Amino acid sequence: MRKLIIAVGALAITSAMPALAEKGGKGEGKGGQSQSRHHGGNGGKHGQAEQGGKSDLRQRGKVAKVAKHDRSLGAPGGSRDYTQAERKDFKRDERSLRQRFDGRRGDNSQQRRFDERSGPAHAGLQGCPPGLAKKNNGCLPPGQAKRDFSVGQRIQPAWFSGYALPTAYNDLYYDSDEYYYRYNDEGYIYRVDSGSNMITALIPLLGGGFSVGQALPQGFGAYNLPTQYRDNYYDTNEDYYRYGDNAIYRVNAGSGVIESVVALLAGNMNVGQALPSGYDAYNLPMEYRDDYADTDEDMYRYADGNIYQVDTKTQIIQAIVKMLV
Amino acid sequence: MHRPVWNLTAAGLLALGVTACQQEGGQSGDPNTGNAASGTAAAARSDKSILDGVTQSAEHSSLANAVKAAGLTETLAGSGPYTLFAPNDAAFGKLPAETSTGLLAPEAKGRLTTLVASHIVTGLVTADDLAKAIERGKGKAMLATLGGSQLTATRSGEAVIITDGSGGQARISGAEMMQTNGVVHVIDTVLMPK
Repeated sequence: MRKLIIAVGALAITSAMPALAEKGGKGEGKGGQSQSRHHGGNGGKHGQAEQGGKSDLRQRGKVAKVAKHDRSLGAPGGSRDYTQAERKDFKRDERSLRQRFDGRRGDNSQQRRFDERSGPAHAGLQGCPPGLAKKNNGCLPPGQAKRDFSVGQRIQPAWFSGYALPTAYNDLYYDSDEYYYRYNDEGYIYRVDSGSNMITALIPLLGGGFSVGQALPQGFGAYNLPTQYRDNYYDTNEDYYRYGDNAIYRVNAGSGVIESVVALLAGNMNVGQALPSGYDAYNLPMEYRDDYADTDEDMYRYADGNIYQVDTKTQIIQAIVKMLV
Repeated sequence: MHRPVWNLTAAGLLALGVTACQQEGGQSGDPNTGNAASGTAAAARSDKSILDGVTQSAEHSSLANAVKAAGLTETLAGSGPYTLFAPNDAAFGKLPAETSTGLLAPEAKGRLTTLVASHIVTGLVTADDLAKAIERGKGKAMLATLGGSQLTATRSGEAVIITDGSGGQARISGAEMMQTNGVVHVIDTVLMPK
């Protein structure tokens, strides 16, 4: 297990780089800023690695950190005792990885990436309070423990202990044979390839990736508003509008910064599917209540500019009976 | 520590010229008992938006400031309709100091947006609608907020209680305020998303 993790860690150094290079290489103001923002939590780490990374590496030995990280993951609380055979394996793995790592010393960026991944293990076995050790996150305090992953990085599913999605997103992002999803508490959902365990996307959420005053996240260059809102919100020379995570944002065309949330959408109503949780109360606009009142057979609910007809018994959404926007 | 911070913004907003618009929204509820359920959908309608109602209310200065900081002014001035559970200034005053300070920090704008959006429900859910939903749901009704969280509405005597995802409870007080783009229910506690 440890060997596998270490090997994966080493492999990730090389495998993550093209994706990282691609991200950084696009150089678009919006996306670049967004990525910087997301990794803001790592900024300190980056800074540390850049300022004192080399000497720090020599003094403390980053390879050992990976091993420590592995230990903390493998044993709840990070305090497991190892057999002599395991310790030998462990040292052999250390030597092997050190050799591979030494071969890459000339590349600071790789060292930084390596440092990021091994960083959570820094506190590892020594001096980790029991409360943090139980989290199996390498003894990082809350708020720092969930910032270490990035697109292109290969991970171990076990590293995502405690990264459950907010319940509101469970229906939208659920684990499948193709992908699984985890949340980083910073406003992004990680989409991870189930086969390779590589993080393939960061999905921004309201208040996290999409936040007023921040640059629009990468990947939202094209106008994408739901049809019913296009007449109300369209791009101009000054502003443009983008839809994401159930909200429509007004973005400064010059700076690419989100200036305002102009509409919040529910985004969870689909004909043929069950009425989502949270629509127990009748909620139609006043002027439509006479025409669409709940009956024993049908009930009506409003969301995102539409009035939906719902079968009272089955709770299945039957149709959009009125488009209001 | 946190009260002065919120109250400073309150003072600033009050200086703009505040009128108590709550009275415009009808008087069908009983402010003493928090009997929002007795408020009716036929309550007098204001000619103002939810945003105007909040910003001009004498008891929602903190919320108005939060809405502005969260970048949701255009949302609450837009076509809607929305249902806003509006914590009054006393509700913000009950927040722990570290929570208030944290929410007001520039880097916490995203969290603030989610927090405010977690007080907003899509569509027009009047006090009467809430009461019927609770009755139909055998004592409780679930409400999906536009911040992604769920609220649970229940009854406590004549009052309606809103419970957030963290188990925090707010009581609807006073009459609903019918605005041009939705309805506002005043609550006495800030709801937390999770």
